[in-house]
Amino acid sequence: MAEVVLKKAEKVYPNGFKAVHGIDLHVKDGEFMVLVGPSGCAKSTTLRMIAGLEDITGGEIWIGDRCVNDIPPKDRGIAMVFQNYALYPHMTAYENMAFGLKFKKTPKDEIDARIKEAAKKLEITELLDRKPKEMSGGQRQRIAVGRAIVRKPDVFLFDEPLSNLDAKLRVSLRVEIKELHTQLKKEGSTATMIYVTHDQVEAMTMGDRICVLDYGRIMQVDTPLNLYHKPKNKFVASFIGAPTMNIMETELDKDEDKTFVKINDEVIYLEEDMAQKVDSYIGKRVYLGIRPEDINMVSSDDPVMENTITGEVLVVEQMGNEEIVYFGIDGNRYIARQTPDLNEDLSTGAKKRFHINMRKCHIFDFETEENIIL
Amino acid sequence: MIKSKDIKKNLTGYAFIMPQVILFLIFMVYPIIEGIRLSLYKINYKTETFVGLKNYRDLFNDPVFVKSTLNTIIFVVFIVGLTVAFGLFVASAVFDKDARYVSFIRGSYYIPVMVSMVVMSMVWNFLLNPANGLIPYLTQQAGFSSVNFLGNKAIVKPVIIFITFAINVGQAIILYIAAMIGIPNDLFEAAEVEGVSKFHIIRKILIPLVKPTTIYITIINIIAVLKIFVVIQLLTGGGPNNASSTLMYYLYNNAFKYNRLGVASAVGVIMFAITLLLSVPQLRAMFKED
Ligand SMILES: Nc1ncnc2c1ncn2[C@@H]1O[C@H](COP(=O)(O)OP(=O)(O)OP(=O)(O)O)[C@@H](O)[C@H]1O
Ligand SMILES: [Mg+2]
Repeated sequence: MAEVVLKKAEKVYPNGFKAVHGIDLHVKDGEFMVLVGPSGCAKSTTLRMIAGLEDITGGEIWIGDRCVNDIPPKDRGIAMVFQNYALYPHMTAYENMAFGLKFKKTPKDEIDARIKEAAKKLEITELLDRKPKEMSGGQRQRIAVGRAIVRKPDVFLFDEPLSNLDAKLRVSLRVEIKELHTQLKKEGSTATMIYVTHDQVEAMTMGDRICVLDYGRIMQVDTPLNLYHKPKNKFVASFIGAPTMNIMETELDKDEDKTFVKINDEVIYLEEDMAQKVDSYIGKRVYLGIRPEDINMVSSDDPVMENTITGEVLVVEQMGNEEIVYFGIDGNRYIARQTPDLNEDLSTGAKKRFHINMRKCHIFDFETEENIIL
Repeated sequence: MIKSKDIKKNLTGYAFIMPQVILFLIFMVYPIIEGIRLSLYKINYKTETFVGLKNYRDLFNDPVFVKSTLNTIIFVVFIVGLTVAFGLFVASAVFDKDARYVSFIRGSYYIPVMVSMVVMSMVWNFLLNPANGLIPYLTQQAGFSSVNFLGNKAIVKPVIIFITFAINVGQAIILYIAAMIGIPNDLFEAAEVEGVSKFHIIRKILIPLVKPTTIYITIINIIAVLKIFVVIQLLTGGGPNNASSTLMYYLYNNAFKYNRLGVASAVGVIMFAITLLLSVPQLRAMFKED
């Protein structure tokens, strides 16, 4: 069993700065948990608390069936992969991987066997007698992952391991790490992984579950799809997803039977079931959130539909398979994402109508920023 | 066209380094050549007689020269060894501590380095003065018989070694701390997670990684101690019975006391050769850099 459980874990740095505000997190055995959030939100701090590299100033951390608050890093059954690889520069790849094992009094041939096996898994066998400076960044990070694997830890901790690599390598390595996780699990080894990143694409593609942090607090812990479709609050909604969700400040209103909001005097009606959930908010200010793919340009010859807004095209990003249209309404900028329609005139300044799919919208409380339609 | 322009450009460059080159030629190269020339002459005030290698032969037959050479070697070995060992020890103990604490340590070890060697020697002279010095007084209070630290053949060398080491070590500590602070912290954390003990982290990671600094400290200290003079001149005058005489001190005596300029030059040439030889690894490392 190698679950990792944080109970009201808290970190106050010696200078008095409270980096982690009592967070509760339950990482299940064998789970791939991603910690994600903007820079400075205490992802690293949280990971380092789990590793034991930072003291915990409040709460408890459990790994398996032990409270590890007072257990030194080496006895926590963890292995860590660092952003800057942290390979010992004066040792070869092989020595780097063997170094820690020697101090655990592992027999020589056992060390050798484990390194060979890990090297095969990571396809680094030819690199074993090279020194770090004779390798590329991607190769170094593979060695660093290998160094973690040979320890056969209960929990792998990764702190932004791919952020020093170029975009292409990042994509291929993230697939490899994910595969490694699957493979280790299949082999029956405990393969709980906690992975820190500030890149939401990495988070979405790798995590079994994702924990979104902001200012040392957990915003939401859930599967990638749930985070995307059911964000608990405005922060998660705008953090997850690229391009980001459109968020507009507006007021909920009601005529005889329908609840609506107004965007620059154009009326947008809410769906019936949603309207019921927000009944108590009528007349109050709220945030309306709509993902770019739920806003679509309406071609000029379409008959007038409900729930459209008129905006002025600012910029269009052509991806080939889709286009991202930035348009402005009354000084605010919105984003629509759609399949390209080559017949449309998308030159800057063109006035266009956009349809909003209100079935997929989110409404957030103006004060608490909680999602009120969940 | 282009060529003459290039030459012009280069000329400007040479013009800029010219002052430095001239000074270097006058104050470094010329004295070295002149020293080599003088070492082949017997010099008597105004007359110079060519004697070939006789000065060198005489040197090796002079027991004081042999003793001075041996003393110098002993000083170099012990002072450099102690400086490197203690420098490593202190630096590795403090480099990762609170920054304020580190600067305090740095400051306190650096003060003797900043104060001139003459002043430090005089301070030690006061401290060790057998008549009213603090240290002899304390040893006496502690129940030992009165010790003449600088007048005793058996202990004068250790005392000189200790004093020079104490004055010098600050620089080594500073250099080591700087080198160690430059090592990325995650290396130590990786080792900590892997269960490597503090002792082995220092031995297997820290010390190998500051090897360039160790080489540098070793060489500059060897060169400095080879030329050790001020401490000897001010504390012991080479005594007792030449027990603390060094090459430099011997050179000084020959040049300015016994008026044997040729012999003194020969000593100078020998020291220059040794220094040059010892600098080879350092120079090589420096040139390899680019
Ligand atoms: N040693 C420290 N002393 C005081 N404050 C610190 C210390 N280390 C980090 N902090 C603060 O704690 C907060 C969280 O830092 P942390 O390094 O965990 O952020 P992060 O989420 O990993 O950011 P990034 O994505 O930039 O790596 C930051 O505001 C940071 O300034
Ligand atoms: Mg970080």
